[in-house]
Amino acid sequence: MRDQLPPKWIYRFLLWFVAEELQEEVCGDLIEAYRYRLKSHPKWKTDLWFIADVLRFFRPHSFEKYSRTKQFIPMIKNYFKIALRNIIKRKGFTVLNISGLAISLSVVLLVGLFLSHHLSYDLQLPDSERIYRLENEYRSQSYAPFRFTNYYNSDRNDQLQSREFLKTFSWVDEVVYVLPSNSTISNQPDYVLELDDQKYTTGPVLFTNTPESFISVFAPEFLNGTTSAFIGDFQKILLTANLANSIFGTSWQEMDLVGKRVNMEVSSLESANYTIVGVVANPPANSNFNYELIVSTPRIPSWAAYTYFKTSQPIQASQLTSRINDRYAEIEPNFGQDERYEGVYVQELSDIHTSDRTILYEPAAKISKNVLTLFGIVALVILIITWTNYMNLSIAIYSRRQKEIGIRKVMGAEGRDIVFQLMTEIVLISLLAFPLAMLLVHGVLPSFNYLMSISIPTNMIWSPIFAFGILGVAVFTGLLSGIYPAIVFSKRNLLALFKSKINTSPGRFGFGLRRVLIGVQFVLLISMLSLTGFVYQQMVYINEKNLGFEENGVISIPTAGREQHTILRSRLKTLPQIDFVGSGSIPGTDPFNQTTYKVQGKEEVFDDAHVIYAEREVMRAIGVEHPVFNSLAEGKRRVHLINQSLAQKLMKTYTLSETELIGMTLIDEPEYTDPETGQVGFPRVIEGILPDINYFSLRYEVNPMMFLIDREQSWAYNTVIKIKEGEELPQVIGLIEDAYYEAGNTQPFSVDFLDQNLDQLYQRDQQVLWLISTLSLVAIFLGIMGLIGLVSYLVYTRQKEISIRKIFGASVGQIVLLMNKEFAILMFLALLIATPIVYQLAQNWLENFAYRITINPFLIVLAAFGTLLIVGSVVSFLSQKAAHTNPTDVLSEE
Amino acid sequence: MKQIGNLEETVLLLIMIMSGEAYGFSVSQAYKDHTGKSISISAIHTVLSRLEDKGLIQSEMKGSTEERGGRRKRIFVMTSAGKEVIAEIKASREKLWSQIPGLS
Repeated sequence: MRDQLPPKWIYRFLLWFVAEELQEEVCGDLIEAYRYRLKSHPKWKTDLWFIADVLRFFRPHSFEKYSRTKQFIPMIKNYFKIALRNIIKRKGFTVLNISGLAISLSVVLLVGLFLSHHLSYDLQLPDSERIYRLENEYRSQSYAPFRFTNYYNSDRNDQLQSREFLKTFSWVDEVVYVLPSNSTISNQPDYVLELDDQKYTTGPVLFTNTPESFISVFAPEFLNGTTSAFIGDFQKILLTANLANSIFGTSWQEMDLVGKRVNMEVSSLESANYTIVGVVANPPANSNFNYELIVSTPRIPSWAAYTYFKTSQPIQASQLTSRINDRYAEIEPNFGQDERYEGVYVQELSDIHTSDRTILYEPAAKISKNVLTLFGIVALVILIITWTNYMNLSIAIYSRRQKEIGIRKVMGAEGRDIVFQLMTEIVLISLLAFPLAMLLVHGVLPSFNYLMSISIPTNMIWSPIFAFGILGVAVFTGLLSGIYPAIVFSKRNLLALFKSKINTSPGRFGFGLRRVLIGVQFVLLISMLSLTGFVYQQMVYINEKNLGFEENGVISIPTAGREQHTILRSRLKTLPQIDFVGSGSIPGTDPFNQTTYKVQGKEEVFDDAHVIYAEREVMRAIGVEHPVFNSLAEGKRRVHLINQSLAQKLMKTYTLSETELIGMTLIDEPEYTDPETGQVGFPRVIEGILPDINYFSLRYEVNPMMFLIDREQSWAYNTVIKIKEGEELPQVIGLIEDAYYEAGNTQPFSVDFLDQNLDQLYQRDQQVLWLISTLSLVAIFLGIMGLIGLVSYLVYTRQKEISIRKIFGASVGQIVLLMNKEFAILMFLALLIATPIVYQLAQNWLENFAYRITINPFLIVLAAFGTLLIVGSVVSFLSQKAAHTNPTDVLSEE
Repeated sequence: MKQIGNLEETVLLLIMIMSGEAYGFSVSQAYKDHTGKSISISAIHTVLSRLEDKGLIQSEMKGSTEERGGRRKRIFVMTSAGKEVIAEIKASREKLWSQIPGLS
């Protein structure tokens, strides 16, 4: 007869949902049908048939009738009342749990906001899925801006060449060139606006020479003025609301700004006369461009422009890349002929901010997808810890109330009713945490924004997607952690419920589940602790790594040209507070373009070297010295040195010694031949070898470099100054500023501090480290809180056992040891599981850095030991307390 | 006259035919034998309870058997209202039939 029964689970399911008064007939009919079919069909088919039959019954018609629903309303009132009373009764317990949950919910919300901020860059643009950026691939490097045919010397037609070319593709709708003035290829963050004989210093300018396409692709929101006035002609200015506020005050909206004439010096090639044609909204926080005004000029004042195009429908970027490269030779004859020209690369708008490709001259700092994933994982870990804590909480709550459950059952409550009641309670507690979490995030968001240097608007928290999302997480937390214990308790039979105050029998539920929960907590704690340790070690390592130069007191100011620089230098030289003045490039920048080179007489051409041009004074300012520099003082105009990396590379490739290397000739840019002299490239004799200097971020390994050190350069873009140590900086800067204007510079004075530049370089890293370690601390805190709660509960449930052991002669020490043994074993297992996970995660993250710590597995063991120590001391404290209790007090209860 | 659907009418007739042996499973079998189309037990249950709500049939739990694992059946029988409805339907159909020209 046994094999004539349908699968048990589906039968149980049927019993669960079908109304009691229908059970007999429905089950009877289905079983009868099942047996009838079994005569002529194989068992598996009949089983499936039965399942289908059961599922067909799963509809309101078969559920509990409304007579029960009528009862339901007063019952739910009762559940709420009991739940509230319980919550109020255990104030401390409740506060602890609600605040724990609120903290983890707010972490999840913050991480959610952070991720959505970074993943939504520029996606607010209309049809953002059809907007792409055109990039250059040249000499194994990628360039974010697309270069013009004749670089700086391009006239308007030259500049528009790539646009005309793109427009010949039928699927290209719009092509727009923009140049944010604070980008590396413009490097002029501030401008001076002259309006009604008043001068105003503005923030970054966004230049475009294609205003019509600009309006259609970037669609700025006009607060004043019309689009038609902007697209008609050039030399037009759109102010942002910010700039309008700072120039005209908050009442600019009532003023007649449109048509006002302004003067703004951009470069000697551009006309300085502009007309204001409107005011637009500020660029959103998650935009790749940050600007205070938009300016239309016939020419982009640089050698390249950030080039965006819009297609008629979304097309994969890789496809676009190959389609454009197929015909790229039409405008770039070298493409396909000269291997340095590697063509174009097309990037989707949504990919730009989080791309892991190294692209030169990005207009805004990027963030790696790895880092975002890491944040997501940490938030998830915090959620898991919360869930396990919460499940423990619900077990503890329920098991103290077995008698209540028993009495409810006697009064006629069914399993379902018990589950419902218990769930109401646990979900209620989790719901209480929701408003707390929202308020918490509301409070900390400004500081969070400040620390991460982003600007997420506060009202974003209350947007439906986040508010409901977090509400959903709260409810889900309650449901998830309450459901299993609730079902188990509702199933427990009456006698077991009444038998003892706390049921410690290691049934199906109970010890097995609790062990798993503790194990999970251990794994998470070990992982978070040791990961934080590695992150911290790397942080310290980077901070303390010798970069190969001195950064203190070194400043750099842009200068109009050689003439102004020379005047400025002679003035500064008279100041006793200043050590060195020179011109040339200084470290602490983003990587720039590399050059090709070869050794004279050899075949191979390499393309991985940076060329650094600087005056000797600059090298002295950053504390780099070499005996060869002395020849400059003796009248030599220029010396040529290479760094250790390049020396090593050449010595290895051609098996040379260091002395053989000195005196050899390197040819820079061997593909270039001087049309007049026939000279190939720029040959230079290696005169010395400098130690490796970390010119760029430690993310990048030091690559081969050539140093062209001049006594005096024939050009000057900047003035590098070393201020004596111990001088009052603001005062000296004030003196320098005076000298700057006296030297005939007209652009606003701006100072770059080398040490600040370096901080800037690692700012994103530092922020990531800070956030990760804070989140880890939260996770560790929550985890330890949860463990303490769980452990104290476990000890509490075993009080009887402890008393009995004591009666049989166990000493306090033995009891404490016994209680600790179990946790030690669990911890060991957790260590085995956590080690490979931590190792992998740490390795992944460290791969972002060229200079990194080695992972010491001992730290993971240390983390495990630390956790065990905390748990052990709680266990020891509680169990010795339990062991010291008089056994009669414990055992006499019933 | 109470409005009843086609399926309901068929089930009513089947119950009348099966006099005292009509319950969920047997009606579904009879339906299949009669129409050649199979119908799920849950659909039959829905029809039966709807008919009962309309007062056309009434039911009683009885007769547990071995095939059902000892469970009783809900046996459905016609009420007088049910019989009236069937009779009315028949009468109205016949009236229509008789009006078809050239058929008799």
